[in-house]
Amino acid sequence: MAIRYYSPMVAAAVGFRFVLVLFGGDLHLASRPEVSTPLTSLRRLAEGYWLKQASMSPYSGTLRAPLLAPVADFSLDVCILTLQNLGASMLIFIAGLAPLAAFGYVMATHLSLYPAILIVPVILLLGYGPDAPPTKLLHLKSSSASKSDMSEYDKRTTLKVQRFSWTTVLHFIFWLFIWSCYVLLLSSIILKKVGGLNEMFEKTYGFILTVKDLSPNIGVLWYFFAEVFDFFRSFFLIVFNMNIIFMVLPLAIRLKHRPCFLAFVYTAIVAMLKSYPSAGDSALYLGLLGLFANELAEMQFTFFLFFGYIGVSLLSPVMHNLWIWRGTGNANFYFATSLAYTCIQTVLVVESVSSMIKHDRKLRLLVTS
Amino acid sequence: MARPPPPAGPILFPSLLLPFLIATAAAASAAANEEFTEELLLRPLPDRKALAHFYFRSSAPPAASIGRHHHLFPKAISQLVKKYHISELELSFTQGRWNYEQWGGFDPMSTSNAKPPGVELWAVFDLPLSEIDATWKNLTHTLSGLFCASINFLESSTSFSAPRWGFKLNEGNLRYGALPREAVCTENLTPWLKLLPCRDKAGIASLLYRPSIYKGYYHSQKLKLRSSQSLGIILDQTLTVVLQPNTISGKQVQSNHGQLQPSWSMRHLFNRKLSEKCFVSKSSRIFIEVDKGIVDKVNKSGSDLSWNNEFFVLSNGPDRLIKDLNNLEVQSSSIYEYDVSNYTEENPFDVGITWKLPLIWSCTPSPFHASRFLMGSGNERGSIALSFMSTNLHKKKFGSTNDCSIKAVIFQIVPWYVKVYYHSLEIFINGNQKPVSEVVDKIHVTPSEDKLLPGTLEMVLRFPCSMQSATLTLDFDKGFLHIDEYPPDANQGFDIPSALVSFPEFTSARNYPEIDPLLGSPLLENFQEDSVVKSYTEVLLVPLTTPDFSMPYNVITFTCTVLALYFGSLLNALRRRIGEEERELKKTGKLIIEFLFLENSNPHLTSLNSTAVTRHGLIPQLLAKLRGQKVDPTELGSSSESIGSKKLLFKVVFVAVAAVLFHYFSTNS
Repeated sequence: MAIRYYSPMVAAAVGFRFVLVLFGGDLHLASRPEVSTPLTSLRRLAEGYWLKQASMSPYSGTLRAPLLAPVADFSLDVCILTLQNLGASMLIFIAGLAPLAAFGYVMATHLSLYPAILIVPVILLLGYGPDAPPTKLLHLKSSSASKSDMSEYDKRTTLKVQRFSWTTVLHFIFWLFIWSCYVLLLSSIILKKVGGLNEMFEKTYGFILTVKDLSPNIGVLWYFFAEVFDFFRSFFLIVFNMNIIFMVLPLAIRLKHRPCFLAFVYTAIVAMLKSYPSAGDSALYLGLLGLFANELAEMQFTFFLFFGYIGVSLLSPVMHNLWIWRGTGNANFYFATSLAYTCIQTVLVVESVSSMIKHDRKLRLLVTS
Repeated sequence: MARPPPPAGPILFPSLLLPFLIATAAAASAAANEEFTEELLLRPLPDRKALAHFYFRSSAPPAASIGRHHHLFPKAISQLVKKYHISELELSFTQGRWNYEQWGGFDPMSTSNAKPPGVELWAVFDLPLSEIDATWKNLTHTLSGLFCASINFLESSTSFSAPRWGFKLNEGNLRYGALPREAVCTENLTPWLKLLPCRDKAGIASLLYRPSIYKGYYHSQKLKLRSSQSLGIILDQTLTVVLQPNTISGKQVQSNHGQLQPSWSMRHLFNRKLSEKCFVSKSSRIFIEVDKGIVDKVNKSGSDLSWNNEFFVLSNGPDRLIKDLNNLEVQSSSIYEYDVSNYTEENPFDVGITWKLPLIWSCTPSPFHASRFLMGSGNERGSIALSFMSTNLHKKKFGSTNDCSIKAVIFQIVPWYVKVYYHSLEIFINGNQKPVSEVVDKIHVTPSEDKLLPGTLEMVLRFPCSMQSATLTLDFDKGFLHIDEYPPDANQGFDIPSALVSFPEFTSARNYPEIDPLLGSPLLENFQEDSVVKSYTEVLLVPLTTPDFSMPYNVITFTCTVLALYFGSLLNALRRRIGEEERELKKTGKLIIEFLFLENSNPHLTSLNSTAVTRHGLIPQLLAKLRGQKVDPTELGSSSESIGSKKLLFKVVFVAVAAVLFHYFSTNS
C-alpha cells in the first residue's frame, strides 16, 4: 500500500528539523526539560567526551549521559537522538531482515535499555509476519472455506500463515548474540583503561533503573522520588520498574497476532513509566499510532486525548517557566501537568488496547456470522 | 593616657640578658621540656582599623621521652595526634572575610592567617592510604566534640576531598574539607582557650574580652598541629581579629585634618589591660608592627624610625626594634617588641599608638586580586566566574618586562548539587576570549558524583604579565535534591566553599637578619618561613529550587493512584472476553436473580432474558461474579465447602511457612 503524500511529508519533516537546527537557538531546545533528559542531554555527552579526552572514565561522575562512549561526532539535533535509533530499529524490524533487525535492537537496548522488551514483538513479527487478524479467525475461516470447496492452493497459504517460522527467529537470535558481543567488545576495548564494562553498566543501566537524577522532566517519577521517604525508596523503585515488565506477558498473550501494535503499546508504556521520559519517546509512539488508523477508528475519548495532549504540551512549559525561572510558581504546578500527561497516556494505552481487541472481535463476528 | 616612657637602662639590661638566660635554659633541657609561649602582634591597618594577632605555641617533646603525662601541653590534643596518626592538621574558624585589597595580600599575615569564612580543616595522616578516609571521619567527630562545632558534617564523603596538588602537594594522605556556613562564636572560643595552660585567666589571652573581639570585622581562630618523631608535637593556636578602634580623643584632630588615623591602645581595642604574663610561659611578648608603607613614608620624610617620630608616637618605649630587610637590603617593615614579663598586676601593661600627622599608605597586594561571582538567573543553570585583576605587582618587583608570565594555581571544591560542566571552561584575557590550551598549563578534575563525591577542580594557569584582567567561566546545572537533603532553611540557598588561588612564584617571607636565632619567638619564626602567596575567594551562595516540603503524602498517593488506574484498567481491558462475558452473564444473570429473589426455590424454575441482566449496575454484576463462581447450584453442598476451607487453610499455612523461611534467610544472610 503506497502512503499518500509520502515524499512531501518526508520533505516537510526534514525541513522542520533543519529550521529547528538553524533558527532554534532562541528555543534552547538542547536544555529544555521536555527534550533533554539526563540520558539525552547533549551537554552531558560533551562532558563525557571531554573527560574521555582528558584520559578519565567518561562515566566518572554522574553527569554523563549513558550513551555510547565512543560517540565522537553526534547528531546536532539532540531531540531526535534516541528517537532515531528506536525508529530505525522499528523500521528495520518491519523490513524483516534478521541481521539488521538484530543490530537495531542491540543498539537501541544499548542506548536506552527499555527497548529490551521489544524483543517480544520482534520475535513475533519475525515468526508470524506483520499484523494479521487472530489465528483463531483464520482457523475458522479455513474450516469454513474447506467446507465450501475452496481450491487446494488457498488452503495451503492459510496454513502457511499460521505456522511460526523458527528458522527466522533463530537466525535473528544468532545475529542478536553476535551484535551484542560485538558492541560489548568495542565498549570494553574503549573503556579498558578508564573503568571497564562494570562501571559502564553501573553508571548507565544502574543510573536508569535507580532514578538517581531528580531533575524535573515530563514524567512523574522525579517528583515522586524527590518526595518519597527514604526507607520506601527501594520498594517503589522495584514497583515502578516491575510495572513495565508486568504488562509484557499479558499484552503479548493477548496481542500476539499483532506484533506491530504490540510494539506500539510497549513503547507507549515505556514512554509513560520510564525514569527519564522525554517528548521524543512520546513522538515515537504517536507516530506509530498512524499505522493503526483503521483498526482504532472506533476508539473512545479521542477528543479528550487530542486536546489533552495539546493542553499539556502548552501548560507544561508555562508551569516550568513559572517554577524554575520566575520563581512565582511551585513544584506542584509542574508536577500537576506531568500527572495529567501520565493520565492521558494511560487513557490512550488502555483505550487503544481495548478498541483493538474489540476490533478483532468484531472481525471474528463478521467472519463467523 | 599614654604612660610615661620608662627609663631605658634598667629595662634594656634585663631584656638583653633574658634571651641569653632562656637560651641556656633551653639548651639544657630542650629535649625534655614542654614549652609554652604567648605573643601578640598589633598592627594599624590603612583603612583606620587595627589588627590583632594572638599567637600561642605549645610544644611537647617526642612521646617516648615523657610517657603519657603532660603538664603544659593539652592532653586532648596529644591523644588526638596519637590516635589518628596525624602528621599535620589545621583547623580554622572564621567569621568575616579578609580584605585582601586593604589589609594586604602579600605579607605572612594574609598568606598564612587569612582563612575562608566558616570552618576549614585539612589534615595529613601518617597512615596507609586505605585507612585514611575512615580515620578522617573519626577525626571530624572528635574535633566536633572538642570544639563544639558541626565539623562532623565533614564526615560525609560529599564534603571532603583529596586534592592532588592544587592545595598542597599531596601523596594521597591529605584530606581537605570546608564548611562555609558554620557560624563562629564564643562557644568555639572557650574550648580553644581551654587548650592554653593559663586559659584566659592570665597572660596575653586575658585580653580576649568577648564583646570586643566579636565586634570586629574579621575574626579567625586557628589551630595548627605538627607532629613527627623527631619534633614531638607542636601546637600553634592563633587568633586574628580586625577591630575598629573606638577612639574618643581623636575626634577633634580628625575633623581638622580629615585623614588622621585613629589613635588606639590595647585598652581601647580590648577593653582590658595586660596585668601579668602567664607564669608557665617561656616568653610573653607583644609586638607592634608598622607596614612598609609607613616605613617608606617615615624614611622619606627624613626622620628616624624610632618609636617617637614625626608621624606617630608609641605610648611606651619598645624593648627592641626589629627591622625586616628584603633581599635588596631595603627596610620594608619594622616591629617594636615589648616584653610583658616585667609587668605586674599593680603595674599593668598598655601600649598604643598615637598619630601626629595624617598618613595614607597601602599594604602590598598579591599579584592578582581574585574574586568569584555567579552569573545567570533562574534555578536551572548558571555559571561560576572567577576574575583576576592585576595589581601590577610584578612591575614593581621585576621591572616592566612584558614577555614574562605569572603562574596561578586554582583549587576549588564544588558540592555535587552544583553540577559543573568542565568542558564549558572559557577564558577571557583583557576581555578577549583565549583558547583554553593557551592559558591552562595543567588541569586535574574529579567530577562530582551524586550524593557521593564533590567535584574538585585543580588548575595551573599562566597569565602574561601584561594582562590587566582575566575571567574564567564554568557553566553548571543546579541539582534537585531529595526533600531530606535540604537544610531547614532551604530557601536561603547553598554555599559553595571558597576557591583558593595561589601564586607559587611569589613567596611572602620576612627577613629579620638582626634578631638572635635563639630568641625563641614562634611568631617571628613563622613570619620568616617561606609561604606561597595565596588568597581565598568569596563564598558563593547558590539558590536551589525547592520541592513542596508538605507534599510527600499527596505526591505518593496521586502517583500511585495514576499507576494503579493504568495497571488495573489495562489488565481489565486485556482480561475481558466480551463474548464469554455475555454468555457468563446470561448464566449468572439467572443465578443472581435466584439469589436475590428466589433464594430457596428451584433455580431451573426461573428464566429471565439476558437483556434484563445487562441493565443491572456494577454491584450486582460484581456480586454475580463473586457468587457465580463460588456457588455452583449443582454442587451446592457441605462437601464443597469443607474442601474449600481445607484449601484455604492450606494456603494460609503455605504463606506462613514461606514468610517464616524468607524471614529466616533474610536475617541470616
